[in-house]
Amino acid sequence: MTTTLPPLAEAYLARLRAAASVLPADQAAELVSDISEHLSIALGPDSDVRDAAAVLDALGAPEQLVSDAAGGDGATAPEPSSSRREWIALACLVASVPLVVFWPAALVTWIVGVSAMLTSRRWTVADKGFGMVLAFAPAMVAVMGLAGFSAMESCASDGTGPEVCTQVGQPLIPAPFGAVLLIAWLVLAGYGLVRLLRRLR
Amino acid sequence: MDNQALLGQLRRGVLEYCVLALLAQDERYGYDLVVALSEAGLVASQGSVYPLLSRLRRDDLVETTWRESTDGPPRRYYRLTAAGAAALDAFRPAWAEFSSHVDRLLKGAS
Repeated sequence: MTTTLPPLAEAYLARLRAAASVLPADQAAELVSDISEHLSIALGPDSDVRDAAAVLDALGAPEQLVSDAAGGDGATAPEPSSSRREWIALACLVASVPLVVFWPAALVTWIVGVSAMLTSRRWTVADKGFGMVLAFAPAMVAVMGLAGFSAMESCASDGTGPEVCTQVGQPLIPAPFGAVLLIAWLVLAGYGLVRLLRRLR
Repeated sequence: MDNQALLGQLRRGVLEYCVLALLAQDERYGYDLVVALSEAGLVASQGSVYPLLSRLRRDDLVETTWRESTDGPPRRYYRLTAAGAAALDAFRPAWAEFSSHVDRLLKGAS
């Protein structure tokens, strides 16, 4: 069932759509949809101009709603919806994985990535929690590398008999536990990456 | 500071918990929540509730479902999540302690 809104309410929605263009697309669509729903319920078919004016007055100015949605206190205009900080965070976190072979570079890249992620205004606290799981990537790679190295075999031959191989170290993490840990991390980190990327659309 | 500005400051920190408290009783659609908060004198502009609901949803404190309505377009219903219920449970004793301290100070000052 569709509802025809009074011209005054349609004009308010047009103003809201224009003001909401500074928000991320999904947030802007949600705000406009919520306010449309509100107006459809509050303004019945018999509503006159006075009713519409009262409902719109109670809602507040469209620009104020956009400011609230952007996280502002209404004193300043909302910031443009740039996602540069978030892309820098993801790029640094991904880059820190191969850089593990040269740990000082990995550490610097990782710190920049985590700082950018934690100070993001587009990602929620829950997003950042999953982001931190993802940020364990270099550590996971390092641990797996060390686990493999420590369990390496050393082979030698005295020239008279067959080559004799002995295990030089013990795996750092027992195999079944390590596999479960790795799979759990991969699932959580994969979900975290999808969640973070979804917010940037 | 005028009365409206003072009320605005007081509402800012507690409004989201008032929304969670309303949803702890039953699931509700947005307009219904706005009217309840408005009648309780907890919002200055009704429209500001919607960005708050959106944030609560992004923070996984509430979840939403669309339902058909017999007298208008489909409505978005809000329901408390387990995380939302936990946040409300944590807020209740904190608020009781906070408000009792303020009451005690105000009584002492009068």
